[in-house]
Amino acid sequence: MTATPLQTTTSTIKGAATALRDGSLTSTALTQQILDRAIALNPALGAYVDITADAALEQAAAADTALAAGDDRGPLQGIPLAIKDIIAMKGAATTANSRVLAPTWGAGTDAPVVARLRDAGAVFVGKATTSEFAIGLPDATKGFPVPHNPWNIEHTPAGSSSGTGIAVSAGLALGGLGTDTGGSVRSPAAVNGHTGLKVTFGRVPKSGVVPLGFSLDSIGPMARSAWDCAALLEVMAGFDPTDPNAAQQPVPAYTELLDGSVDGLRIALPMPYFFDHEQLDPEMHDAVLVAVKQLVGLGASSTEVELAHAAEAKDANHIILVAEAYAYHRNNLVNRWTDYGVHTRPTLARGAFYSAGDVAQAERFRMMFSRQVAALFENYDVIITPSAPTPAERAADLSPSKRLQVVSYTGHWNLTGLPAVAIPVGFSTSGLPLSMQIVGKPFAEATVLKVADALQQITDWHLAMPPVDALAA
Amino acid sequence: MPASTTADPEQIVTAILTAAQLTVSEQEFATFVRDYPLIRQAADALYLPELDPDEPAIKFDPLDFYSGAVTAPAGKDA
Repeated sequence: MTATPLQTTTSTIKGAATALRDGSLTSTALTQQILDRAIALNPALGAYVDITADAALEQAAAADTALAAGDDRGPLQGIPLAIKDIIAMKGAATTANSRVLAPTWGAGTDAPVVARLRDAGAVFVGKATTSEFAIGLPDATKGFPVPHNPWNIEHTPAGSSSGTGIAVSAGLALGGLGTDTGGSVRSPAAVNGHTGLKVTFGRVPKSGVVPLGFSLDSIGPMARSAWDCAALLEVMAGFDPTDPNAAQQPVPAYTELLDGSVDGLRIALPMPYFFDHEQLDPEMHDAVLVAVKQLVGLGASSTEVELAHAAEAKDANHIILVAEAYAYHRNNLVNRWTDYGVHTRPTLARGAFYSAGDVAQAERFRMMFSRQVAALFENYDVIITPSAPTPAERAADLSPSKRLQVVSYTGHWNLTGLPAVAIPVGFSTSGLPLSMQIVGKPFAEATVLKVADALQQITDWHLAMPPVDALAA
Repeated sequence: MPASTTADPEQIVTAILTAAQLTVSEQEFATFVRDYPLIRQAADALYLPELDPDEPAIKFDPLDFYSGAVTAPAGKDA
């Protein structure tokens, strides 16, 4: 099977939505092309656990019929999306990429966020590969696809929303859903070269999702551009009574707020740890600061600041995450240790190594750090950092132990519950994507997306497509 | 100091895994032993003096479990 390249004009949700309405494209044709690419490239890239081709084509036909009849449900209508396989979706099993999860988990149901996308006329290509229970590294012996970075298959696509990240990057979907507990939307977006938004805690209802860290989890949109993420979020966001943490906050028309202006925007650049750490790759450092200069050229201002205890914040997020995950998995870890992947089980078991007092202290730290970040936001509109310290690492170099030692720039914003978007800002000399993270105040998704969109209106890093078509099976 | 107190990661990891009822391979045990000092160091670093006035972020509101209005009975201080 061949993988027909996507046209640049229809590789984004915005572009495809326009083409679906001017008569130059049908959802059926677009979905068939995406399905052909997904089926041809999945053996090499491992993006999908399950490609639901028949259901997708039915949804596409329904979208075409509705649009032809004047039933326009907005820009997601007829758009092929990938759904991370820890989120319940009718017509497909939810596996969490694990032998441990009960096969009946979520069967026959849509998570509220999936139901909203379905009502908006979206097309579901299938269930996208996830790190096991959104925390492990791939274990090829467990029977699930091993995901690969489309820019270089020897490198990691990061996790845990690996499949959605690969699918968006390689044109196997135009967007999709990820979940983020310590960086699992932003890290795949960063290393696969597209846009990914971690939303404010409670912005999107997370019922119907296999939990990882109850107080840190969020569902976020992943797509090529900030505009596309805004279009997804407009549908995804809003209160739902089945999630006790869902926020009763109004949902703005995010796409209408993306006017390309950052005039007067005040940017904080936390230099210690986020910009001067010895593990930070110089190319990543420089690319982010070039992007900041571009924003300053559009009328923003930037100031170097200090955010104390950033290293401890990374660890506090990890301690809370593994404690909450351990509580969920404890009985299965005791009784089914070897059914978990070889990298998943030691990571989850770390929850047994921290004391009850350590977890309470991490929660106390969370209060102090949140207060400190809030104080910073009294004088600034956004905080900008690299999304990751390095471009995608070689997959063979990854291990749970290494994760304990490496610097990370994402978990801080799960700890504080804030919105943060990762966007591409260039490529390394080795050809791997570089990425910048824009953090905002609670429920200021519109602000971080507006900054991201302003930069994407004058750059085209987010439109770059990896050279994957030769990998087609 | 009691005789059972130890700073030996191997003994600590053995005790933690036993208490947690986790049966791991020899290689996994060796990894836990190697990583334990890093795990402990990360937790110890959070015991900062400036956190003394803070409560943990965990919240519990008993009213969450009652659908009707709940008010305190009248008393001499009411």
